[in-house]
Parts: sequence; structure tokens; C-alpha cells
Amino acid sequence: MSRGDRRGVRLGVWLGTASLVLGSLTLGVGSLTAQAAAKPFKACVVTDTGGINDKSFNASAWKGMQDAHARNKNIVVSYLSSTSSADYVPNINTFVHRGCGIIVTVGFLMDTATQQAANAHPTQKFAIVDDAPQHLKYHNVLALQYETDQAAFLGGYLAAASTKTGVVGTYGGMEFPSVTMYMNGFVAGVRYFDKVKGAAVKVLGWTPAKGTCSLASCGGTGTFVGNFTDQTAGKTITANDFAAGADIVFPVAGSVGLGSVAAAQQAGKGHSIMWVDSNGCVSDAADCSWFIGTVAKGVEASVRDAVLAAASGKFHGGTYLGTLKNQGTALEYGGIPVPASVKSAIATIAKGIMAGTISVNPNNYPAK
Amino acid sequence: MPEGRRRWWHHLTTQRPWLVTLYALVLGFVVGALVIITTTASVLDAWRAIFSSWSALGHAIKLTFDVVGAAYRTMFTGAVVNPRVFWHAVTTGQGWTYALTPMSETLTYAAPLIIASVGVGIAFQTGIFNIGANGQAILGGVAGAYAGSLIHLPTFLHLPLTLLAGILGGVAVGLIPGLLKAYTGAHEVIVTLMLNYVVAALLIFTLLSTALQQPGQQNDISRTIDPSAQLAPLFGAASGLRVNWGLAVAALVVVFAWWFLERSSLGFDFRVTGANPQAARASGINARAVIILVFVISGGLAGLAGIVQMAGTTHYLDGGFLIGNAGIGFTAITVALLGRNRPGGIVWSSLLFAGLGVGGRAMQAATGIPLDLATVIQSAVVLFVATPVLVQEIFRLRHTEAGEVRLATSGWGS
Amino acid sequence: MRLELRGITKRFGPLTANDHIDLTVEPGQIHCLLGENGAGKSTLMNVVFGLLHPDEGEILVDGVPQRFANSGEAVRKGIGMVHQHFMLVPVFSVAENVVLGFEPTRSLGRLDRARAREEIRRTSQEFNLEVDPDAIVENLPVGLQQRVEILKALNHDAELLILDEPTAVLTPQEIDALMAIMRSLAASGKSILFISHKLKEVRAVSDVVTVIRQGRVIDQVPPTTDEATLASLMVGRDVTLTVAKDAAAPGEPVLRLEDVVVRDDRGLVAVDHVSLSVHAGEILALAGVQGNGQTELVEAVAGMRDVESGRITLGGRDITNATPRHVLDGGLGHIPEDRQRYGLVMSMTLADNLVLNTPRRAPFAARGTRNLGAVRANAEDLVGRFDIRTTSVESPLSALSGGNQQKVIVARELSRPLEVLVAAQPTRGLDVGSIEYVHRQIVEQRNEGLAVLIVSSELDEVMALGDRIAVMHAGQITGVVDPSTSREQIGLLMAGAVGAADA
Repeated sequence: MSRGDRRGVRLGVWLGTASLVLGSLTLGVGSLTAQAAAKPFKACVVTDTGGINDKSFNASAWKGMQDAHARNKNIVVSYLSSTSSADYVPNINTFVHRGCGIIVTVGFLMDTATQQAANAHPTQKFAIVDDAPQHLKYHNVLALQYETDQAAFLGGYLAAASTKTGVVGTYGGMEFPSVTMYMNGFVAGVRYFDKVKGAAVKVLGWTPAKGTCSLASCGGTGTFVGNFTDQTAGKTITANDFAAGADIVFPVAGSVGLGSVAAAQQAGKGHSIMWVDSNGCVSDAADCSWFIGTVAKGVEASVRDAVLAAASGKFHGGTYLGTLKNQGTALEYGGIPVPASVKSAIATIAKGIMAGTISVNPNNYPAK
Repeated sequence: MPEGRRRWWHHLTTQRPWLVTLYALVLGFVVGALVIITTTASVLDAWRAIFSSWSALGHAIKLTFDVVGAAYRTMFTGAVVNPRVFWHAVTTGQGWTYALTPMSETLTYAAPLIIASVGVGIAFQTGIFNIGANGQAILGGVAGAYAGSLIHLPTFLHLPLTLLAGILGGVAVGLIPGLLKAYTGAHEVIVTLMLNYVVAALLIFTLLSTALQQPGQQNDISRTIDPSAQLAPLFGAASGLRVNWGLAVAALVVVFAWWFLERSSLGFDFRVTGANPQAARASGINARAVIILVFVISGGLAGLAGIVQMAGTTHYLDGGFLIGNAGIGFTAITVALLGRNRPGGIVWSSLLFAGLGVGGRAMQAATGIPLDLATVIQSAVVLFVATPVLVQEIFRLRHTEAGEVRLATSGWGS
Repeated sequence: MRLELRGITKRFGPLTANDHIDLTVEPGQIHCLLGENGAGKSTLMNVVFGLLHPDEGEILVDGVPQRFANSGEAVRKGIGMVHQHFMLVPVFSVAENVVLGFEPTRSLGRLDRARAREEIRRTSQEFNLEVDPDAIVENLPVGLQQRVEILKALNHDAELLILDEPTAVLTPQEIDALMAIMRSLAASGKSILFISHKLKEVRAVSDVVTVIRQGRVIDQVPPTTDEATLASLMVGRDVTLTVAKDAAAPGEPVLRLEDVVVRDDRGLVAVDHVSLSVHAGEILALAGVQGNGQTELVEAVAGMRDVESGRITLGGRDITNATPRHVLDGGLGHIPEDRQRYGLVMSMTLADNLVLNTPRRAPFAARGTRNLGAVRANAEDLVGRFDIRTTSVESPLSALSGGNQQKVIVARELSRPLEVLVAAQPTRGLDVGSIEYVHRQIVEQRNEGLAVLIVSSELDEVMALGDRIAVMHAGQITGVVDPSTSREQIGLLMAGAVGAADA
């Protein structure tokens, strides 16, 4: 075989492979359309730039979808991740065109895109996590919001009841209402403990402003990292709190909190962390023994319920408010033992909050 | 062989730049197919089954082609056109928006990418590595957002002003490495690279602590720019297609860049400087002026890309603007490389990259294969383009008269 | 070693660089391959050395057919090559360079310097190639660097040495030394394939001369053949070897240097209080061994190097420390010494290179836009007038041969209005045909009243062209003499004997 011929064969093989790949584009058509007979209910989630593996709300929303699928096998779930805010609109539109029964979007950044799509497609059902669009034309959006200050109140009480030094701390990632609401509730819980027990536990890192705290605005002054990624900064802040006498710290900063765990491990036994958003003993099981508890946001459950409701035709637009009552927010205990007496006291307080007899506004209790 | 066919065969087996790019593309998709095969559990299981029974081979092959085929098919229909939907629109006159959305989306993403890549390409042709296009684009977006949301004017004044603000934002960031290199010899790669971080921090600062922040918001999100400052949808808001006048801006930029590089005296100075700085100096070209001007033009185009991205799609900024995978200023470097730094080549490579991204999303929605596959293909294509020797060996290409196919960028020396 | 080439053919696309070349080098023979630039000599040598693969034909070493996949295989078969541009690591010592790739090592791969030094001493004594094994290569003069290259090949047990244009970079004394080395190598049984286009050297050193032209072997002749015959075989027509020129009619001084001091890249004084003037209608030839400040002097005149003190004027205007743009616009034509580096852009087209320093001049551009039609017309015109051989004016310059590249610069500089032409080594590396051409052009311009400053390290050129000869040594002008002065006298001035010929 001459040189030229061999070259020809090599090229032929590659071009052949390439044409097979391209040719299979058409082959695929039949096989995919064939299985579309069972009329499943499509539930779709558009994630933020974090993607479905962010160990935060995107992951929780996706988990909620899968839970819905587990309960109702007729629900088919799929997701689209965004690389930037410019992707929100086309991602939502893609799902609109694919005939999704409900489209779940995640986070305040998708507020505008979700609102536009909802107003453009009156019959399309939407749910948006942690946000409430203000200018909707139809009742086709369910805003999933969480009054996390209720569970944070219980967290604050637990911290105050558990501290040996009489000082606890908190800090946030960035000064967003969804962050400061946790810190506000935490301070309220500590102050409530001081009031009923006549104690004087101090809180570092957050001083609530006058007035009430809502998801639209929750002001005050406190300590913030400036982002949700810098674990070193989280470690430094926490170590400073420990140096100032604190023994329990409540980071409200996503994965930055892992820096707090590291600081507690360095400081040794007797120091602990109150985790946030999703149960620390599940998402970070290795460090469970350093967690006194978790102030959880019920993203999974609320997304699951929204999807299930849509699948069974019981979807209603409006606002879902996650509270202690509907388990949209909760205090979960960690790896550090808590006396039964404290647990029962917290259970009683929870009932009081649900009944409206105990306020979670820190301004209703004297500051120490 | 008949003469005509022989000539074609000669074409296809002789190494030349466009052919290497084409074959690199083919290889990129082959690599993508391998990734799909090795990461899809069902396909792997089917192949494992052939160890117990040879009869499973047919099934394994069929499944492989089904899965890979479905992925690339949805990628294509999601990025260009779905023939079935298109035919439906033609025959019924209904659903044109749906039929044209894929193309509209690809063009929407391509427009700012073309602009940024042309800026990077002009710098490359002058021998300057502008790794800071992303930072320049971000500040372009920020400056444009100020002009678009805090000043209120009629469209014919407001839109040009907003675009101009974007350009000036990019120029402002670009001038820093330009002046430093011209007057102190500081290496532009390091300065531009580091400035990206500075600008990213500046973005957050402007969104949280200045008048740009959306009123009533405590989150890192900007005001929405006035409709008079927005790049309106090309076919009107009612069309439902996002493709906007940013595409026209990109077209103007391409024409300008072509004229600049091929026809202008200044562009000639740029090319001489890029090809042989010593000869440029001996020929009376003012190297300092060229360096500064390169950064003005390259930075200005990057800034324009930033404002086109914002004014054409979201109409507001958030803390993730052009950050991470969304950084068109970084993508522009590879796009310019793929397009061999020429305006025409950049148009094609931008469309390819935009199409892979848009099609990748459609593929993810339809098949569950992660969007990252598009990135894998993009990277593989660039890798093959950057190593012509590899492509030449795989396809056994003949050498051309000139000898070697050169890399589009030949070194990092300053 | 006996090297035999049978029907070697190498094509690049439509171009046939070597067309059925037959050639035999006998053991102990100095075989010269004579041809113009672009005749296919380098291609043939790259084929022999395994850098290119022939499309047809075979290579036999001692009667055995060979196929070299790469140059490493050629080296293992006893073929050594000394390239025109040396392949040495400048910051390494002589010993390190010679053993590079075949290092004698001690345990754990440590370089055995003592053994390397010893090996080199042995080889250099055997072949009478004196060089200090511990010297750093970049500190050695060019002639010695070339010696290191030869040593390197011999150290790899080369039986056949290919010398590619080895004299192009040497001084007359170094050339003599090289020839002595070649003769002693041949006497010890080594075969030498010597590539050149310089007739004098070819006649002086070779045993057999093979002339190639346009890729074909034209003839094989004995070295006793006279120069005119060799030249016409090589070029394909009769060639004039001397420059015909009338006596100069010098006019006013145009370019004046007054007490000029210039420093080199290392900050040392390279031009030491030099005063010169070049008159309209005369050629002032600046002679001297390379590296005595000529390069820096020319760069200072062209605006590319700072003048520390003194004054340079061009037609009465002060151009001391002016920008290159200013100097070029003032009517200075410059043929730089390193043409590929300072004079041309290899990746750009011939047409663009012809307007490299006048891109904005009418009619090549107007209001910032280039007029490509005019640029092209200019190129077509100059290609015809200056006999530049190219397939198209849109070809990249890299596709042209060295001689034609030099013609591009000459054409570009002489085609714009000039007051003075500064030409540094204008014929270096050119073949006879091109040298003749460039010389004629320069004399013609001088006849029309141009002031010309020629810088050359080739004494023949200096004496043939110069109306006056200035000799430079160690940054100073050691004398300005008449071209009728004897070679010995000028040689003394070049060696630094100040005032030897002032009388």
C-alpha cells in the first residue's frame, strides 16, 4: 500500500466515524418520540448559577423535586442550570416550550425573569424559592418564603440555655434580608431567655434596628463576611468571637460556616456551632459532634409540596409562608446532647410562637 | 481518479489552516461523544453486558448511537433550528416564535461575544495579550448601567450615550495596563489578569453601596436601565424573540475591525508591530502610541461587549455579571484563538461557541446530560486547534508549501 | 565516508526544490556545492541530514541505502552538520555545548564535567581545533563559535561534515583559519560537503565543485575553473564581477557626524567621539572587523539608539536623537544589517513590505485609509524595476529567497526621495548575481547625486564601492583613506594602527 493510500484510509476512518455520529442525530428521533405515550407530569427547576450540586438552595430545590417524584411516580423531573443572569429567560422559556406542569425557580435574582415569564404565560404554573415577585398579573406564581426568624428564635434560646460563658455570637455572609432575618430571630431568642430566666447572656455580631423585621427589609448593624465563599474569613470572625468570650457561634453564610467549624475544632471542646439552612448533621455529617443544632429553612419540603399540589391539580398561586407551624422552618438538634428540660422548654416556646403568644421581634425584649 | 475528484482529495488531505479548524471541530465532537458514552450509566452497562453475552453487542451499539445521537440532535435543534417545528410553522403559519427561538438565542449570545473577541483579536494581532477583557467588559456594563438608569433622555440620545459609557468604562480599565506597559514595560498579562479581580470587587461595591443599587433592595442587584437605553428586540417585543439590536452593533464592530486591520493606516501599524516589533520601530512606528491605542481599542470593544450583554438581555446587573463561567471576556480569548484573530473567523467561532452553549441547554433539558458537555467540546476544539501537529498526525495531512501551520498566537514575549 | 545521492527529488507543492540530484562525496574529499540563494542547496542538505524526506531518490552511505526518519538517525550514521545559524546554548560553556545530548554522566545522572573537558581536549588536539573548553559560548567571537559547532559534530563521531555557508559570518582571518581546519579534517579522512556561493573560497579549498541551479545539477567542475566561468554556470548568464564606476563628483556634505558618542546595549562606549561627513554624489565606505562600533553608529544615525554626546545633521537639520520617523522623513534611506529583524516583516506580503516605512505617504493612503490599489501598483512596478523574483506581489515575504528579500529593502529605500542612503552589510549572504545587482544600484544612485554610507566587513566590497574608505576600530575612526590604498595598509588600520595611512 502506498503512502497516499494509507493516508486515505486513515482519513476515511475518521470521516466515517464523524458521519456516523452526525448520522445518529436522525436515528435518535424515532427512539425518543416513541416513549412519550404515558403523559407524565413534568416538573422542572431552573437553578441559579450554583447548579444542582451547590449544597444550598439549588440542591435543596432539586432534592424537593426528587422527593415529589418518589411520592408520585408519574412526576418526571428535570433541571436546567444557569451560568449567568442572562440565561434565566431562555432557560424558563425552554421549559415553557417543553410543556412543564410547574417550573420552579430559585432565588431573588430570578425574580424579574420569573415575573416576566409568568405574565407572558398565564396558564403556566411557577414556584419561586425565597422570593416574592411584586408585579404579577395572574395567580400563577407561588412564592415560597420562609419566616426563618421563628426557628432562629428557638436557636437563640437553645444557645443561651447552653452557653457556659454567657456570651454567644453570630455573623452573616452578606447584608441581605434573608440573612439578617436569621440573625434577628437569634438575638430575639437570646433576649427572651434572659428575660424569662433573669439571665444576662450577650450576643456578638448583630444589633437589631428599631421596628419590625420582614423579608423585604430587616435592618440592624452586625458582622458580615462580604460573600458566601470565604471560609478563612469565617474562621477569623469565629476565632475572634471565641476570644471575646463566646462559646457558641451562629454563622448565617452558607459554606463560609465551615470556617467556623474549623475555628471550633481549633479552640477545642466546649466550643460549638449553630448550623443554618439545612441540617448540618446531614450535609456535613463528619462535623456533627460540633453542631449544637441547625436553624433550618424548609426549601425541600415546600418545593416538594408545591410540585405535588401542581401534579394533583391543587396548585394555588400566591405566597407560601414557611413557618414553624407548617415546618417551613424548624430547629433541628445536632450532635451535642441537649438536656430534656431545655428541649421541652423549646417545644413549649414553639407552640407559643405558632399560637402568636410569643413575639419573635427582639425589640419586645430588653437588650442586655 | 478523475481530475476534479483528485483535486478535492488533495484539498482534503493537505494541511491548511481552515482545514485544521474543521477537523478540530470533528475531533471535538468525537471527544464529546466519548464523554457522553463514559458518563452515561445505561450505555456503560450495555457495554459491560457484552462480556457475558456477545449478542448484547448489537444492543450496546444501538444504545450508544441513540444516546449520543439524541444529545447532538437536541443540541443542534436547540441551537439552530428544529426542522419539525420549523415545518409546522411553515405549513400552519403558527408557532414562528418557537421555531425561530433557537437561532434567536444563539445570535443573542453571539453578539457580545463577537464584540469582545474582536477586541481581544486586534490586541493579539498587535502582539498584545489582553487577558483583562472580562474586567473591561464588567466595568463597561457598570458604566453603561449608570448612564442607562440614572440619566433620563429620549432613545436617540440615551442609547448611544449608554453604549458610549460602556465603551469608556472598558477604556478606563484597559488604559491602566496600556499606560503601565508603554511607560514602565510592565507585562500586560499580569496587569490585565489581576485587574479582573479588582473590577469584580468593584462590581459588588457599586451594586451594594452606590446609587446603582435597585431602590428597596438590599441584595446585590442594580436598577433596571430605562427602556430608552435598552437594545430593543430586533423584531419587536411582540415577536418573543430575544435577538436584539446588539447584533447590529456586533455587525458594525466586525465591519469596523475588518476595515481597521485590512485597510487603515493605523491598523497596518498594529499588524507590523505584532509581526515584528523591531522592524516596526525601525520603520518609524511609535511603539508607545501603538501600545496605548491597542488597549484603548481592545478595552473599548470589551466594554462595549459588556454593555451590549446587559442592555440586550437582562437590562440590569447583579453580583454574578460576567463572573465565572459567564465571563465572556475569558471566552473571547479562546474564540479569538479559534478565529485566528481575524474578524471573519471570529464571527464563525463566536457563533459556534454561542450555539454550543445554547444547544447545550436544550440538550440538558431534553436528555439530562449536563450542560458542561458543551464546555468539554469547546475546550477540545480549542485544544486541537492549538496543536495543529496533533490534528495533522491523526488525519495524516500533507505539509503545505509554506511548511507548518502556525499557531494564531506565537508567544508570550512582550 | 562515501556519501552517494541518487536522483534525489523534493517538491513543495508545485515547486520542485531538488530535481533528480546525483552527487557523490568520496572519503577525504572536500566537495563544494555551489549555487545561488534559492537554488536548492539548503533543501538538499536538509534531506541528507534527515530534516526533510525526499519524494524520490535514495541516499547511500558507504554503499548502503539509508532512510533517515530524523536528524538523530543521520547523526548516528556519522553525518554532522554545521548550520548557518549556530545551534548553541549561549550561556553554556564550550564543553557543555559539545556534549549536549550525549553527556558523559556519573551516577544519578550527574554531568561528568572532567570527562567532558577531557574528551574535548582530545578531539580538539586531534584535529587542531584550539578552543578553551571552559569558555562561555556567548563570550566567544563568531569564528570560535563555529569551531565549537565543528567540534560538536566531530565529538558525535561524524565522518561526513556538512558546512552550510560557513564563511558568511567570518572575518577574512577567520575564513583562512576555517579553511586550514577543513584541509586538516580532509587529510585525516573525513569527508566534507561545503555549501557556498563565494567563488574565491570555493576555488581555494574544494577538491570538486558541483554547481546547482534551480534545483538541478548543472555541472561538476574542478576547482581550477576560473571565477567568471563558475559565476556564469551558477547564475546562468555572464556576470560582471567588478563594479564599473566613474570617478566621484562629490558635492556638499549631506550627513555629518560631529564628535558622536554612543553606548552599546551593555552600556559600554561603542562609538567613541566619531566625526564623519558623507557628501552628495560620493560613497563613503566604512570598513572594519565586525563589532567595532559600526552597528551602533548606524543605529544612532537611524534614530534607533541614543546619542550620548555630539551632533548628527542631515542636510543641515539636526537629527541627533530624533525618532526613526523623523529621520526617515528627513530623507534617510536605511538598509539595516539584520534585514529580517529590522527591515522586513516576514509574515506580511511583498507589497506591504515595499511600503513598510511609507504606509501613510500619498498615494498609499489618504485620510487614514490605505489605498491597496496604489500599494499593489507600486509593488508591481518595483518588482519589475528591481528584478525581484516572486510568484505574486501578495506572497508572504517568507516565501522569497534571501537575495530577493534584500532586493525588497533596496527597492523600497531607493524608490523614495532620499538625501542619504545608509547601507549596512548590503550584500551579506547574497549570491553573485544579487551582489552585482545591488552594487550597480548603489553606484547609479551615487551618480545621480545621492550621498551613500556603506558599512561592510567585506574588504572586497569596501574597496570596490568606496570613493573614500573610513576604517573603524574599537569605536574610533583609525583613518580615512583613498580606495587605491593597499589591502595591507587597510588591514593595519582595521587592526587599530591609528594614523598608519594618514600620510
